[in-house]
Amino acid sequence: MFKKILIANRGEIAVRIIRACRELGIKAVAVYSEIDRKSLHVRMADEAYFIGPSPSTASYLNMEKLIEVAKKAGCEGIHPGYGFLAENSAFARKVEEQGLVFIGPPASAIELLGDKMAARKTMKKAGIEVVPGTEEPLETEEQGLKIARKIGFPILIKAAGGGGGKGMRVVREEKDLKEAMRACASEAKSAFADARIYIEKYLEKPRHVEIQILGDKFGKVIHLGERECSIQRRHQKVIEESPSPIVDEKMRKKMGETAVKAAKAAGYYNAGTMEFLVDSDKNFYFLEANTRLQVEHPVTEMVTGIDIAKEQIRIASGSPLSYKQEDVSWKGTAIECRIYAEDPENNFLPSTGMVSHYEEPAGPGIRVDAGLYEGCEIPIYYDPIIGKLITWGANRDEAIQRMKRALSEYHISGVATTIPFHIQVLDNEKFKRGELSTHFIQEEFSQGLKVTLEEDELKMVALFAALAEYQNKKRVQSAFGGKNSRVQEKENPWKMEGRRRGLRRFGM
Amino acid sequence: MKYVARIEDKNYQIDITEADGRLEVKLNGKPISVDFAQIKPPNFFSFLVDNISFDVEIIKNSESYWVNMNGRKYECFLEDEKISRLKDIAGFKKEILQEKELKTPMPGLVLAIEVKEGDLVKTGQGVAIIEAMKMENELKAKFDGKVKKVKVKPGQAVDKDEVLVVFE
Repeated sequence: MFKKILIANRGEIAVRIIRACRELGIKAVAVYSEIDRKSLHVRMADEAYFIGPSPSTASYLNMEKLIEVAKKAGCEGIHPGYGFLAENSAFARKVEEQGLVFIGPPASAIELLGDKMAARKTMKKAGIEVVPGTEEPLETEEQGLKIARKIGFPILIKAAGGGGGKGMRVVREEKDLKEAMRACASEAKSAFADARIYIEKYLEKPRHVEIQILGDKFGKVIHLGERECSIQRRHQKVIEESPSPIVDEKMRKKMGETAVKAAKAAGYYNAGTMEFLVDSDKNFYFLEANTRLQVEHPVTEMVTGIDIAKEQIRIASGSPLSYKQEDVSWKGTAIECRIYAEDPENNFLPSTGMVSHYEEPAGPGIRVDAGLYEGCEIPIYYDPIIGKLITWGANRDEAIQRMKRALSEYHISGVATTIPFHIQVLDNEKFKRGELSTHFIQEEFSQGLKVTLEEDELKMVALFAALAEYQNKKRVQSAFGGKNSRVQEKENPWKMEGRRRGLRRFGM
Repeated sequence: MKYVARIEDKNYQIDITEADGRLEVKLNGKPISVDFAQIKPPNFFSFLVDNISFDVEIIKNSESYWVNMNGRKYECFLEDEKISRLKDIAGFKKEILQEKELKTPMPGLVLAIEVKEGDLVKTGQGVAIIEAMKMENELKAKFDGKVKKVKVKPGQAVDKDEVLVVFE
C-alpha cells in the first residue's frame, strides 16, 4: 500500500479523497491555486503545496508542476479526482513515465474510450450494442444524408472528441442536416481541436443508466450495479439514484455483464463507468465510458457498502480486488442531489462570494460530501458543484422523504444554491412515481423554479421583516442616547439588567 | 409602531407596541402572539408565532429586507405607516423599482455584448454574455428600452453588480 499520495484536485472531491486516505492510513498531499489557500481541502490535508495562479490552466491543469510537487513531497501516486486532468491520457502517461502511479485506468484505455468513435468501434466488435449510427468520421454531406436516411430522423451529430454535453446537435429534418454538420464540425475543431464528427440515432426521451465497474491490474473486473442519472439540466446531471426505478435483477445482471465485457474489451482497470441509454422498451445501448471516479459515486457506495475511492487507491497500489462479483449485493435506495452554486430563481446564473452561514443536515441515512465551511469563499474560476447531499432509505420513498427532510435542514447563506430547486423536483408527481427521462427538467421545469406565493407564508414574511426593522430601530435609538442608552446602563446596572430580562422574554 | 409591508403586490399592516417589556403585535389588525430569539447575530432568528416554529434568516438591504424561510427567499419592502399614508394623500404612486441599467449579478469575463447604442430591446432579449465558473451565461433585458450606453467591452473582466449597459 502507498504511504503518501497527491490529490490533483480541489473542492468536495479532494475532500472525499483525503477522507479515503485517512481511513487507509495514507498521507494526503493537497495542491492549491492562489485563491484556494483557505479552501477546505488545504485545511484537511496532511501537506499542501502552492501550484500557481487561480485560473485552472495555470494551476490544476499544469501537468509538469503537479508531477514536480508529487516528487518533491515524496508521493508514490497521484489521484486526479474528476474534471481537470482526470481523463487526460497524456497526463496519465506522464505520471507513470516519471515513476509515479496514476490512480485511475491505464493511459491506453483513457485514450481509446475518450475517442467516442474508437470506443463505439471497440464495443461493436466486442458484441455490445451501441446507439445506431456511424463508426467512421463523416467525410461529405452526401454521406451524412445517406446515413441519416438509413437510420431515420431525428439524429444526433456528435463530435468524436466531445463530451459533457458539448459538441452535439439534434437534427429533426433533412433540410437542417447540412448546416448542422458544418456548424458541429467547426465547433468541434475550435473546442476539441478535432473536427471529426459522426452520426447517432437520437432517442426520444431516453433514460440515462450507467454501470459502475471496478477492475484490478490482474484482469479481474466486477460491476457494482447501476445508477440512474436521467435528471439533467443542459446535459449536466442534477439528481442521481441507485438502483434505477426501472432496472430489475435480471436487467441489472445483463447490463452489468455488458459493462464488464466493455471494460475488458478496452483493457480497463481501476474504477470506471459505462453509460447506457435505455429506450422505452428497456433496450439499452452503450453510449460512452467515463474513465474516472464519478461525481455520483456515493449513491453506489451507499447501496453496496463498498468504498469506491478506497478501492481505487488499493487497486492502483497493486492489490487485487477486495470483492468478488458474488460478494456484491444491494440494499435500499440512495439518492444524490448535486448542490450547485447557481441561482434557480435567476435562470441558474452562477453565484459566487462568501458563505456567510453554513449548517449541514444530520440524522439517519444522511451523507454530505462538500468542500464548504462558514466563511469560505466560492471562487468564480472553477466548477459550480460545491457539494453533494446523499440520502439512503430502505426503499425509494423513504430515500426521497429523507432527502426532502435533509434539504430543509441544509442552510447555506451568502451564495445562492440549487437547494430550493431540488425540493421542488422531489415534490414532482412524475419524479415520485419514478417516471424519469433526460428531458424531465426541460418538460416539467421549463421556467426554472416555480414561484408560488402562499398567502400564509407571505403574512409571516411581512411580520418577520417588520419585527427585524423594529428591533433595528430600537438598537439605533439606544446607541444614540435614547432612553435605553448606555449611559443609563452605567448609572443603573440593576435596572438595566431587569429590563434586559424583560426583553429577553421576547429575545432581544 | 405601525408598518406597512409590501411583498410583490400585496400589502400587510403590522402594529408593534411595547408594554411592560412585552411586545404586543397585530397583523392586519388581529392580535398575534410572537416570541423571537436571535440565534446567530446578526441575521438568524427563531420565531414562535402562536407557538408555530419558524427558522428564518433576515438580511437588511438599502431599501428592503430579504427573508429566507423554508428554503425560499422573499423580498419585503417596509414603510412606516404614517409615511405611507402621507404618500397616498400626496398622490405618490407606489414606486416600482425601475432599473435603468443592466448589472452583472456575478463577477466574470465579458464574452459578448449583443446590443449597441441606440438599439431598442425587448424584455427577455439577450443583452450580454458573461463567462463565470467555466460557463457562458446570457444576461437578458428585464424591461423594454433603448440602449443609451454600453459601458464594457468583450474581453473585459467585470465585478459583481458592475453596470454593463445603460438604458434610456
